[in-house]
Amino acid sequence: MNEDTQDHSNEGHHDHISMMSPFIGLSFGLVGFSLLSFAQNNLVMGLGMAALFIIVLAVFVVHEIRQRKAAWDERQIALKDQSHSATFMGKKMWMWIFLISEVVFFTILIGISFSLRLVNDPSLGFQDVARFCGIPTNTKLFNIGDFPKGWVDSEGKTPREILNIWVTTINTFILIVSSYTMVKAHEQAEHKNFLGQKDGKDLFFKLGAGKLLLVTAAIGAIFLGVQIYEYTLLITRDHFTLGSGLFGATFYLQTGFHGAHVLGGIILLLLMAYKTFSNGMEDASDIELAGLYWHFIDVVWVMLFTIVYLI
Amino acid sequence: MATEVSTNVQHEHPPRPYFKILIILAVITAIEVTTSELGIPAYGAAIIAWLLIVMALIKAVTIIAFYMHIKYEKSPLKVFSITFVIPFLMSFLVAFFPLVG
Repeated sequence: MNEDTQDHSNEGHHDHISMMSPFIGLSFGLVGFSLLSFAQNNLVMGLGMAALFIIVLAVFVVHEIRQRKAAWDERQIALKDQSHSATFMGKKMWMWIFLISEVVFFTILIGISFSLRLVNDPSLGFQDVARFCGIPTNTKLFNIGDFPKGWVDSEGKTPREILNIWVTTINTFILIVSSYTMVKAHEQAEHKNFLGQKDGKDLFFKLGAGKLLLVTAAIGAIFLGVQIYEYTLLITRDHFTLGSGLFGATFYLQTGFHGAHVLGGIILLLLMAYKTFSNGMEDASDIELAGLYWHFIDVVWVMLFTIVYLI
Repeated sequence: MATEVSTNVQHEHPPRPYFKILIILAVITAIEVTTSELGIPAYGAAIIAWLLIVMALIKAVTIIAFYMHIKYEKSPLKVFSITFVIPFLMSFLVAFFPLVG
């Protein structure tokens, strides 16, 4: 979690120049080029860019670990002088700022895919939507122009013909349940019940926060498993890939980024569970922050499910 | 010790309706999938699409309010607008730029 909030309070603290932003920018660029190359069936370029990305990532991780280890000891001294309340509010604020950046990222990702779809889908024309909203559609502002393709993959199939809604519906229920177990883990952590009580009044008290975190991570893993199964079927059986037109590209970009976030969430939950079982938890604050991230993933999926699969 | 100082987290609060929220989310999801699969006679694709988006937004706000505890913050509307509404609206404009170009 983020300990950066104490940076400026300690006079003896040296400001390290964070290489985070340029590294992240470079990484996104490389991943983008790599995906584009794969989409254009340029395997060599795609693999090359992916390899470069892994190298950049490795350099970044080593750099960050070194820098953070140096900063860690200084911060430990600073932390002792501060009230825990201030620390937690700082941490929580940083989590909110991180989530704001995630809101921007996913809104643009899903929004652009959706607007491309409105432009391209003959059955759900932007003209219809605009008319529905009461916007006059004969103005130049909303003259969409003649796009060559409808919202179909390169073989002319529509989303409904390709995607299996029932598998994804089950996956949606799975993710909602994981949000429930997560919030229950937080509740148990608030009761300081980290390891579970044998004579607890209900199942959640018996499990305790640590095991509930593991349950949440397991349910998240099931979600990922189902998504991998869906991808496998789509690619091998339906030959629906990243290169299958605009639809294929936006579909894999949206669900793939969401899946990557779920993977990150699972790792975060496992770290939290490890910390809980090694008696490292003093209160519910860390679990609350992990919960904020996990529920945010759920919120993103709720929107994705409707926009990608249902409409 | 520092950790003994009372925090801003409310440790003692009445039980929160987490299970009810789970049921509500599941029911809305079921309604969404049914609406999407069967459609509504006399309604066009665009109207159904809007209905589905509204239902998804209701689910999203429910999760944010109850599971992300924004409803229990000191100033819920302020936190909600700063973290979700404003970034969402600003990015939304960017995302729909291709449509009005």
